[in-house]
Amino acid sequence: MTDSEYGRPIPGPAREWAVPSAGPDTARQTPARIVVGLSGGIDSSVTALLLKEQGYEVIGVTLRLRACGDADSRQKSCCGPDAAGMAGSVAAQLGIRHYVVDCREHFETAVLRPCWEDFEAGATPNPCILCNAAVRFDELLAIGRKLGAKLVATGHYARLLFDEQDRPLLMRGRDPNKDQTYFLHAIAPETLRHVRFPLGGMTKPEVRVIAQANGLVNAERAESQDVCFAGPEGHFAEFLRQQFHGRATPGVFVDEAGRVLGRHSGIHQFTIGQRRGLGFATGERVKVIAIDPATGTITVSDRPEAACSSTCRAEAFRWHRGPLAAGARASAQVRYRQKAVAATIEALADDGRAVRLSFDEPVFGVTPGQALVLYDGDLVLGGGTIVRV
Amino acid sequence: MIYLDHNATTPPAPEVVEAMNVSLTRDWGNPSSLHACGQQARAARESARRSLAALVHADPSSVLFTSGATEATSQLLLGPLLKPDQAPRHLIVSAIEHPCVLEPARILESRGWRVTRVGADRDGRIDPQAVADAICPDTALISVMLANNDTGVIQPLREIAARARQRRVPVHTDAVQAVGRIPVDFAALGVDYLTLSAHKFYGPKGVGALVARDVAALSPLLFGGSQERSLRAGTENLPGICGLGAAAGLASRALAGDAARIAALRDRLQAGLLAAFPDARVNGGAAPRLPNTLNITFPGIDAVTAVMNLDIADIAAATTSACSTAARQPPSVLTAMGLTPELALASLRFSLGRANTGAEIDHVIATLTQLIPQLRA
Repeated sequence: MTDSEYGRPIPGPAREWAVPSAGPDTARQTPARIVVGLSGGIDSSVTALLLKEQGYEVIGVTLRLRACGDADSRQKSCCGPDAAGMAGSVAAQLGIRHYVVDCREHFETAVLRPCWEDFEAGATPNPCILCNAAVRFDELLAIGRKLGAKLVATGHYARLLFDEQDRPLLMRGRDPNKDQTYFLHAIAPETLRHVRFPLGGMTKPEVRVIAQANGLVNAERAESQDVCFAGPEGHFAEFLRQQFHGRATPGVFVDEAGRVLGRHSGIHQFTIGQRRGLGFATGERVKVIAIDPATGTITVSDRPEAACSSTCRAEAFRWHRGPLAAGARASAQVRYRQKAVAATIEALADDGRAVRLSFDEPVFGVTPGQALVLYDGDLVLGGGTIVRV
Repeated sequence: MIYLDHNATTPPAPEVVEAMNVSLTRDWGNPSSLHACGQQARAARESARRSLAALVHADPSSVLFTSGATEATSQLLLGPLLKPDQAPRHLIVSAIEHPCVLEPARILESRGWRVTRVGADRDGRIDPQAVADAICPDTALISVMLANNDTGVIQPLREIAARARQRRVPVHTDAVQAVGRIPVDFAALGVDYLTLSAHKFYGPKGVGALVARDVAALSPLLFGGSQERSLRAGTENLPGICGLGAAAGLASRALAGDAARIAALRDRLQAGLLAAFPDARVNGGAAPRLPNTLNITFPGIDAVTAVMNLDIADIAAATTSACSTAARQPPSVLTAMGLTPELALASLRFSLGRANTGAEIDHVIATLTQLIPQLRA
């Protein structure tokens, strides 16, 4: 159970969802049907395998999010055509049905277009958070409803507990290297109620052992990316700009004293803390510390502390269990895989949807467009989108 | 699994598997070789050619083996592009052709050809007069399928060919869905070219044929050795060809009986579904149809969801032409027949085969009677 480091007990005797058996004691009934989002990677494959062993009637579903011909989707990504092919092979091996569902329009409207608008405004959006909150789980639940399955499971590393009112409690996965709650925090509680994460209590090495022990066709595959849009910085943004025929905002690089160091072809290709690909001769330590969408000016600095912030503002904040009060303490995470730091809520809008907080120590790379997620120990308290100070 | 998707593919008959096995284990020689091994392989190939020629009432010398109907059609339509000084001409196709015709037509268009696409009427039939009216002085070819894959509607090829002959325009028919299901008489149809695929009549995948009145007038698409009179280079897919031959022989013997029995089952399915759902509509029901095909619209359902649910219930059916990526494009055959996109996307295709039984059909009717109202809820 979680440690409540800020002294707030988790309400009620939370019970963990422990993959209840759907088989033996209901042998004469039809087993419960569950949709598993199959990406072709080993995490979702093992998820399907575990649920099948538990007696569920598992239906694998791969969401087709982007056109097969996209230059970008030919890379190894969770939504390319190779992925659907691998998912199909795994499904055949497990003896489960598998369908590919076309969500390209939904994905473009709900993820790609808003992402480009963010880049255009000098922010760095997080497509995985948007996709999970607006596309992936809704689509899986929708197909589940059509196929008579009330539940959906994925291979995410996160734990879901339910309090006595059956409200979901989203907790970090047991494997600290793989925890994916940062990507999942924005999913609506009413959606999470129908979701299961069977791998939440496992570590990646344990999952790999299960895959190998069962001889899954993808067991020996290299570690997949956690995200669909891996690649050099600026690559995704440029792909979006071309897709939407967007206008780039070119400008100059300046140092903290305002001296012009070089030119760039568009702010969308840069993010706070970026070192590589700045395009002018710099020392190793020079990083982007600010992006001004109005003028196209990108400020860089070689002072390590210049890329750090001691405060952060977030909007569109979604509290899972009601807002904290000003002055309350929580641990805050501003990037995937970045260590959470202790922080104090400084101010809060009346509706709780806007939050300002100060970190106990300066935090690297607080980037507009990324998420601020607040935790109490392993428990997700809520999250929102970081905005420019 | 109750398999009602024979227009996608059919299970190879035991006789076909046996013939392929013999080809792989005994007659494995190269048909081009001089020695006894080659001679035996050659004999097997020619025996298959005779069996197929007998099935479609053509001369064996008019049969060219290919890797399937797609290659055969591409060879016919695109082969001339590889010849020197070919001026762009005019092509007539029906709007409801399979992509193996429509895509080459599009390529010809991009090379300066003019393409006329003749639409179907509400019953899915192509009007022979409309085809004749589209003929121009430089029309190089007319291509109209013998039976449609989605609706099973049989096209009036004899009438089309008769009108085309008066204007001296050659006619091609894609007979993929017709061969082995209805009697196909190449000579009596009066067409110049016919293409077919073995796996639609209990043969193996990856083999088909181009039947041509004048083989010498064909242009090759593959170049190399002198196989198939230099019109299709490359060592023959002999196991496939032998499987095709066995399937053709089987079809020649079983066709009449199969067709009557399968038609009765199809009619039973159609009557049962119409009785349960009076608002359902049979597409192409007023036209002559293949005995095995039922295309039916249930207003208000999503056909893809229905096919998935049927699959989970161990019943294999289809929306339209097999497409595993489930793109939400309305089937063009049905919209060409005047269905709205909504109705086209609410249409299911059941295509029966040799092994289906009355009990299976009754089970499918019962399953759909339960399923369709759930899908409408």
